[in-house]
Amino acid sequence: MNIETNLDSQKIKDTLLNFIVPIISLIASFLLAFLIITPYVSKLPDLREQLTEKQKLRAQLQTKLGILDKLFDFESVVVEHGKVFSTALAEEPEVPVLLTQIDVIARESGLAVTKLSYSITDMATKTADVRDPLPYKAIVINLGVLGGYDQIATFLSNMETAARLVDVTTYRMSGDNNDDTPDYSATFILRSPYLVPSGTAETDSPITVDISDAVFLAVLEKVKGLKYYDISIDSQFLDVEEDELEDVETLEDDDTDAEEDSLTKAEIEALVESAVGEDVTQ
Amino acid sequence: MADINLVPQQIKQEQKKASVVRSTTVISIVLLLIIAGVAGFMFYRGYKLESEISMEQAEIEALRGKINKLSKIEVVARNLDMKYKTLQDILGDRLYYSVLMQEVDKRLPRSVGIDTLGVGKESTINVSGTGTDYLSISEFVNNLADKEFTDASAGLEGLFTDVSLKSVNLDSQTSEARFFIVITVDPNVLMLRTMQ
Repeated sequence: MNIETNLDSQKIKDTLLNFIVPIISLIASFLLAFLIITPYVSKLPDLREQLTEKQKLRAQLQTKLGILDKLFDFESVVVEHGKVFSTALAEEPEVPVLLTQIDVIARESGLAVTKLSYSITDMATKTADVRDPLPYKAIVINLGVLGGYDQIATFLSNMETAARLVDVTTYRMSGDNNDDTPDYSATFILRSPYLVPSGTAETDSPITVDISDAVFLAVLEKVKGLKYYDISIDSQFLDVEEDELEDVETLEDDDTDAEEDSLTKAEIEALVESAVGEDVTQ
Repeated sequence: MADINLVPQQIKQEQKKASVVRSTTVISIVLLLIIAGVAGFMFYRGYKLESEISMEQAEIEALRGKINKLSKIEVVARNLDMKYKTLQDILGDRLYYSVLMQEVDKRLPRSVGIDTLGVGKESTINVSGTGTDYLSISEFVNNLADKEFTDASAGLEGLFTDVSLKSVNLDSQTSEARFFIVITVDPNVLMLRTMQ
């Protein structure tokens, strides 16, 4: 019995010795597959993706550096273009100036202003595409006027050529056309956008502006062709003091009393403060 | 003649065993070589990719450094870019209602007057008014619908895509006909006008 057991173990030893090379090879193959191949199978696609992203970012930064170098050489031109665009797209609400501009245009067009009120809205919340929200805010103005058909058409035309952009969102006019020169009462919902500038640099974000691009120059020329109304806050309130109460303070109320007409300086300043504040409807 | 194999059975078994060991050894070594080759290739590829990523990262850092030095002009340029794109969008989508007013006026017969005019939903304009008779209202509607209206401004012949006469009533006291029409406007025509 003992001899048989010894023979069996000897046989196993012999077999193992005979197959030592295949066994070691298989173990090594298994280790290589487990320790190197399997991890790299999942790692390589990630590395390739990382490399692609880095290459994209490098290309983007190289393009951006090229654009910035070019813009640096023409810094004064860039600043000047920025100022031109700011005449059309204000950097702050500047509500008193805007209301005065609308008032001036209405009067120049031969209309009598009966109502003027405003509110400020964030266009980012108004856009249909939430992934690409509009970057600007807008002042929504409710304007009421009295005048003839031609005066209203002229007013619309003057609004469209005014340097500070004011879009007509909607309007309605009604009146009696029995007279030779019919008078209409018209209500306009106007919208004037403004864009608060960003004060920070974003190194990895691209800049695509090309100041020599034909479309850019076309937009620039169009803005330059608009009529600029030079209205300062001081002159506005000297002018508007009397009209202001009609146009801004009560607006819907034609019977403005004399006491309100003679506003003190402090009251005017308070009016300016409230006019500049957001989400205020006068 | 019959084949006679004089090799003993034990030696035959030994030969068979040796053959199995040899073939197993060869197969396992070939398998090892193949796996080692694949592993080596993958390791090399991974190493190469990692070194390429490191090089890209170094270049990115260098570029970032250069861009940071130009941060002042970047802020100016970024604001210019934002303003430009916003203005392009706003001016591109702008509807010029003054043109609409002029076109309506051009197509309005002298015998027709407008009482109300307002912008409706989905590019429509609601107009109501009075005419001396039914024919004058019909003329007004036809003028609006006419795609080849002779007095229309250049490019604005097709401004009104649809004109729908909603109601006509004869005022017995004045003998005038009151009407209400809904005009559909092609917004692209008003937008194209803006780019001229």
